[in-house]
Amino acid sequence: MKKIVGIFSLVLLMSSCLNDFLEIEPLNTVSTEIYWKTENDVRAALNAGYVPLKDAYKKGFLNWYEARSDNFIGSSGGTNPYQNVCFNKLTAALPSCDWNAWYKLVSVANYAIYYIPRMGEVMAENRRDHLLSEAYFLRAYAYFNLYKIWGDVPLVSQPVLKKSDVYKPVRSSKESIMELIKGDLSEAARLVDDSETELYIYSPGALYALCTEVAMWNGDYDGAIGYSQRLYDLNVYTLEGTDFKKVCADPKTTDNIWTLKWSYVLDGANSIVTTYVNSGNLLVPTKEILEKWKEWGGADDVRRPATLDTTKITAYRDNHIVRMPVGCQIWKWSPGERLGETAYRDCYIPIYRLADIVLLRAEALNRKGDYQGAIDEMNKVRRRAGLAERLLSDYTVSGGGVDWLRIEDDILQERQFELYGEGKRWSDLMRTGRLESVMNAFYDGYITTYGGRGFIRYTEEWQRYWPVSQDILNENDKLVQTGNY
Amino acid sequence: MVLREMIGPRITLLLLFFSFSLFLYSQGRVVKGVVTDSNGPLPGVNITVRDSKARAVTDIDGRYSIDVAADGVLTFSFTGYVSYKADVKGRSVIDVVMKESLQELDEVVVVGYGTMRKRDITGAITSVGAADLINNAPTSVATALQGKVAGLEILSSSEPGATSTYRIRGASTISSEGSNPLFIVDGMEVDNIDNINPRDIASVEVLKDAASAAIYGSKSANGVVIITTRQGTSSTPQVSVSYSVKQSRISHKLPQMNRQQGIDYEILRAYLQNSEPSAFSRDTLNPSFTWDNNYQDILFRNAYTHQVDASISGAEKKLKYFLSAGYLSDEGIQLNSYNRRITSRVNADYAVTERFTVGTRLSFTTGNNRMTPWGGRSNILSRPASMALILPDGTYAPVVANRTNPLAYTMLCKNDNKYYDVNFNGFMEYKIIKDLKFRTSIAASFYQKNFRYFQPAILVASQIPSSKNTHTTNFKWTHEDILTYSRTFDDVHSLSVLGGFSIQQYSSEYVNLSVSDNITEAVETSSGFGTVDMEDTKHAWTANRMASWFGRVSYSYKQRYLFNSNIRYDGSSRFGRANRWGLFPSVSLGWRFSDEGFMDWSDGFLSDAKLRYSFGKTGNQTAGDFAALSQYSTVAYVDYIGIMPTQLENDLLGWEDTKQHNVGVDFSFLDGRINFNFDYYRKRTSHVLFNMKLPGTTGFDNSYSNIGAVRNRGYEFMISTRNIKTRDFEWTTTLNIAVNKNVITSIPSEAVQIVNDVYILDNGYTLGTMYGYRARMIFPYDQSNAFTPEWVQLTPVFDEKDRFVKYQLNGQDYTGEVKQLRYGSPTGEVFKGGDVMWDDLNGDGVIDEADRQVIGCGQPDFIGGFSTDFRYRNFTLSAFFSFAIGGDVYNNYESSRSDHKWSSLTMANPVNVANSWKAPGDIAKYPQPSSARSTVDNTRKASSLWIEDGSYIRLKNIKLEYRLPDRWASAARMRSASVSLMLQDFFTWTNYSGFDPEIPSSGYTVGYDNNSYPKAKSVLLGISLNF
Repeated sequence: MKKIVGIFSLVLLMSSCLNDFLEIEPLNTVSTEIYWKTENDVRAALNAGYVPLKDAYKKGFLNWYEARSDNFIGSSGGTNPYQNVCFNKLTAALPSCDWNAWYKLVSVANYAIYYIPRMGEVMAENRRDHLLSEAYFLRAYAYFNLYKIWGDVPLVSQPVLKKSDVYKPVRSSKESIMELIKGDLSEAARLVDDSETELYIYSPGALYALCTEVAMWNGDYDGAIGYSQRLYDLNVYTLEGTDFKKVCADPKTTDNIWTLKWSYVLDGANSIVTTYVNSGNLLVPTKEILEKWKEWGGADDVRRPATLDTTKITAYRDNHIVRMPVGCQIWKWSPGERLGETAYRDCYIPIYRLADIVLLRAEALNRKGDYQGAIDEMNKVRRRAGLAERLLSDYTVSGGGVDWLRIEDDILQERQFELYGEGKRWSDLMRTGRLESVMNAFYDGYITTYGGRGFIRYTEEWQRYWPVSQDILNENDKLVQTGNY
Repeated sequence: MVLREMIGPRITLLLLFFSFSLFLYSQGRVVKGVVTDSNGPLPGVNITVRDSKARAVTDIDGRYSIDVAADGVLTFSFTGYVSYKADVKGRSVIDVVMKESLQELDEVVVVGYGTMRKRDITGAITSVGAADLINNAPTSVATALQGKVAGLEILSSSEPGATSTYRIRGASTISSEGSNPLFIVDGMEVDNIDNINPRDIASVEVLKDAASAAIYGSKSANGVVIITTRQGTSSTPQVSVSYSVKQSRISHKLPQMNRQQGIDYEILRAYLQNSEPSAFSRDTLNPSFTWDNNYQDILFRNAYTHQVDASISGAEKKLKYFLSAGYLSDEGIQLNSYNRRITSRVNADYAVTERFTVGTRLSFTTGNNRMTPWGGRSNILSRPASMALILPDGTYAPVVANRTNPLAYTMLCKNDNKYYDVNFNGFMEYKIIKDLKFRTSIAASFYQKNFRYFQPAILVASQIPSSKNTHTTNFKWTHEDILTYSRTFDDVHSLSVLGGFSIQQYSSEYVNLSVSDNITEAVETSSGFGTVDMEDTKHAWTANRMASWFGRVSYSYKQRYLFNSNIRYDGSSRFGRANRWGLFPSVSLGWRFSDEGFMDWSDGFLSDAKLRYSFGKTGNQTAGDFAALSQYSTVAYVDYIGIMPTQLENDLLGWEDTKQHNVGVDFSFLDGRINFNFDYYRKRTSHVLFNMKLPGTTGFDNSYSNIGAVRNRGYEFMISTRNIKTRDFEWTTTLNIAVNKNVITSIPSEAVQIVNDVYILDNGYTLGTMYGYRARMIFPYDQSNAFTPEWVQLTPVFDEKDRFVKYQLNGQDYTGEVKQLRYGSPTGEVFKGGDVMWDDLNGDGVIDEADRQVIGCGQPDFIGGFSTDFRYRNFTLSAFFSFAIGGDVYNNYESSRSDHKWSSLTMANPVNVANSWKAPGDIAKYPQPSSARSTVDNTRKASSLWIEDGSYIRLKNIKLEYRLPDRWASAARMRSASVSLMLQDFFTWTNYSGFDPEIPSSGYTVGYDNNSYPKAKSVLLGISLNF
């Protein structure tokens, strides 16, 4: 018996020594214990955020921000029939109903927001503050997109560090999401280092651009004016001397504030741009925009021939919504040159351009009653486009006052042309409350005229938002589907 | 007559003893002698004296000497041989010729960390000997073992170098990787057994029940396959040389469209879609579209496989040795695919002293394996026959209209694996006292694989060349200490106790270079390139360690009541500190009731009967090596390199465990002429390790958890008979059948999913269950979609001008309410003529997700093997069948080429198109072959249309062997010589329309036929010489 006890105690004793033998640390992957030690660690952790951001863009950019608007008509074939998106026939099976990539970005930001203040004095304070402001910015950018696409979404503001932190959140109200965005942006604006300049990742310019856009969404015109002023004060960006033909084709001009880089090897072909030039005609500019644009600037507007492939965009048949016109593409990424699809693999996508912010500022000034200021801002864009400058007198009504609504219409019209294909149109319609009127008129008029059938008109508020993918609902039983999808 | 053949010699011997007993002496004396068998001296034979404790063992020359009374009785016993009793009768020299036992019960069976006589086995262990293994001239262990062990399912492909799938008693876990058994080669755990030459193997033991496997603890839940390599036994060196040549070709070709059928198909589609067929496919002047290829004829060939093996073995005074070398040149039936392999082995045991033995097992394998790359076979059935493979200038045609060139892929794309596999095992054994043995060993395994991939620009639409070079180095070492005590007390109590300790480490290192825009295609490697794949070009390293204690107690009383218990205590680096150690106990009992008095009546008829029961717990630890730690990995935003958290810390992660009960009986009739085994088992796996999806809001994709449970139940039986045995004619048969029923008994809702569109993973379903929509018919007319409110289908009636007139129900006119099936929603599209009539399971008139049901299952109802051997004089004719009955196959090949929603350049199956609906009134099997009705998803993946019965019976091989008469052989100074002619996989009886119903698959996608390698059938000619 003693022997047995002896053997068992030996086993137990050795087993505890063996526990050291059984500890192995991974080599090529790192664990939390040895990470978050240096500035480079933070830089690499934040770099990781741009990967899911791009993944999100790949999944949904066109569906969320272009195909659903009155800019394009879509084809009915393929795994993602753009026509269904264009006709507001959304189902939870579309790949763009997946929000997980945005939450990966949120997770990257949450980790950084959690760890950076705990890192101690390993880098200069202004560096640390700036990196922290990038983290707040990335989280705000992710939530702002979630807010625009789905409205009410789960609010996750703490990092999930271990398995026991995993929980199933409910969808928070979009108001609380906006509160988080505003909070994050004001933190970011407090911490940002204005001397930093970057184009492909975070920069003060990108922060103020986002702040301006968010302020406009909230009807905070003073805020928009203030933030856009801070952007101007950086003295980095200007439309003067820039060539419109380059703002997408080579988005490194002084007009470009934040550009998403692309690598064919890592990301595959740039599905956004190749869709615009696809020989199978997945998305085609509406005949309506063609005619509107001609009327707007005539031959003077350099943007139209630089955006629409003028060699092909002529042949619209009467049933062109059903039988899409052959070869109609936009060539904004190679103005004047019709290239094969494969030439667009490595194209970069501008996220923020100065022209975008200038026009937002114009809207804000207009709303605040500074009509001349608004028109001045608008003229900056018109000037580069080769159009005649507008005067305040163009908008004065016979009774003496100013028709501010007409100024706003014109600013928004400039935005549609200027930013065509860059993912701004749908946001503008939603932000300005014109969505229902514009889209229903688009369906009842243009679409119906050319034989389009089966669209769903906008009548309910929930229709503005996207359904959530069924997989995501299955994973988390606390989530409810958007509206009546 | 047969009986006399066998009993005859014994009676003669007995008479001999009696005649000697007349001259009795009573004083003690030393008796000496030599023990031999038909091959020469036999070392290690036990000699005991009746009523005395004296014992002796023969030495390496078979010599012995022992003190014995002149009237004493000596018993010579050696496992695998008939025990021999000799009355001394005053002799001082007794030479004995031992006879090999016909009774398999005396065979020695390898169990974990030791051996046992088959007679004493209480668990479910099947042993396959060397002769059985090489019977079919196998090129790998998988082909050698296939069908020979009840309950061991091996699925392999004809592709040279392809890995096979092994399943012992079904899949016990839900994860896709975790169901392979544990492989032990000469005491060393290995990852796979692909590189072992089957001719080097002495025996393979398959440990099926938990009680037998539990001594391997945490890795044994899927059973254990133990391979023991050969060792010399005979004092005269034995040299064996064998050679075989095999011609293989594709056993079954699939229908595919020729040029004209392709054009007709396009015209038919255009007609149905109300569009116009394109002109270019009919353009007889365009050199890219004027061919008429049958890709299967072009890409598959008559392939030749050569196999040469040589070995020498022997046992000198102190040395036992086995040396072998083998060369295999295995050509695949697809052009430019091959596996060329050299194997060699040195096994040696050296007795330093009487008590102290050392030994090594050393093997080296190297080879070069080219498998056909993905593009070489991916579109051969759907690519238009008219598309060029070679351009008029003699170069390979590039990608045309997104169709890659399969011939160019097959010939130009480098997809080569060079591998080096070295295994070393060195041991020392020391007899501390007579019954107590200590053995310590160190084993190491080194595996290096260099993968080279080069894809010239012409192969891809992007026209960008790319290449990849991957070097993988796996290294593993194991150290073991084992103490064994075994003794028989009072001749009736035999006790054996074993205790051991082992530690092991496995590490794997991986360097990958992945580049594109290679400067020149003359250099077919990653040297000189324009772009680097920043995420894929990297170094990776992973490792795991284990420390274990294990023990066994075996006790038997008069070999009638048997008791066995294994236990193992394992610690693994893979799990969180809290759950690091696991205990795996087992117990098994046996009762040889044939020895009981009440069974006396059966003497002479029933030679042995045993009842067995066992219960044990085993484990599985198939999670990533660092699955319990939080981890970050490298990602790249173009040239901004990032580090991203990808794995959550989970210190509660622990073992998956399997509890298994096994009841079995063994019968042996007529002195081993008929052997019968039966086993019934129930195994329940719980805390299944599953890589579970996490809510996306966490920012993580998935994480390993211990969730869910799987239950397997089944039975196995094996019967082997020597039907006829005379001097000139012998006939034996063996049949084994295994039935396994598997079901997922618990799975959390988050893990419920449908894999590959059709495999459901959910509570109450068998792994491999196919789930989807059941097609009932194709609507012949638009008006056929008409039902009564009770969903009884109405018959439309048409007039002579084909105008619809009315509905009828059972021959009576029907005027009531007419209901119609709709797609997707109550307002969805109405199904028309040429659409599939899906089974509306819930009767709501809407075909949607609620109508999905079980439409098949990949797991067969039963599997097994049947072999029969006839020997007449020097000729042997043997046939071996394997079968799997009742499993379904999901024919993804057919599903994807019949999905008419693609362009008309994706050719469909001409047979299916002929069977498709084309005009109103057609009674068809398949929906209309066009994309016109893609809105109602007629050719959906999850459809019973693509599921076929995968049952098959295959004549794996039939062999005619001629053995040279001994006197001719000895005239040529040979022990034996034989020639054989064999047909392999030549006949398969199946209703499956694809290449082959036997489909290697991983995890839960059982029977998923996706781009599988066609089955080869072969003719083999072999010659074997033994000196």
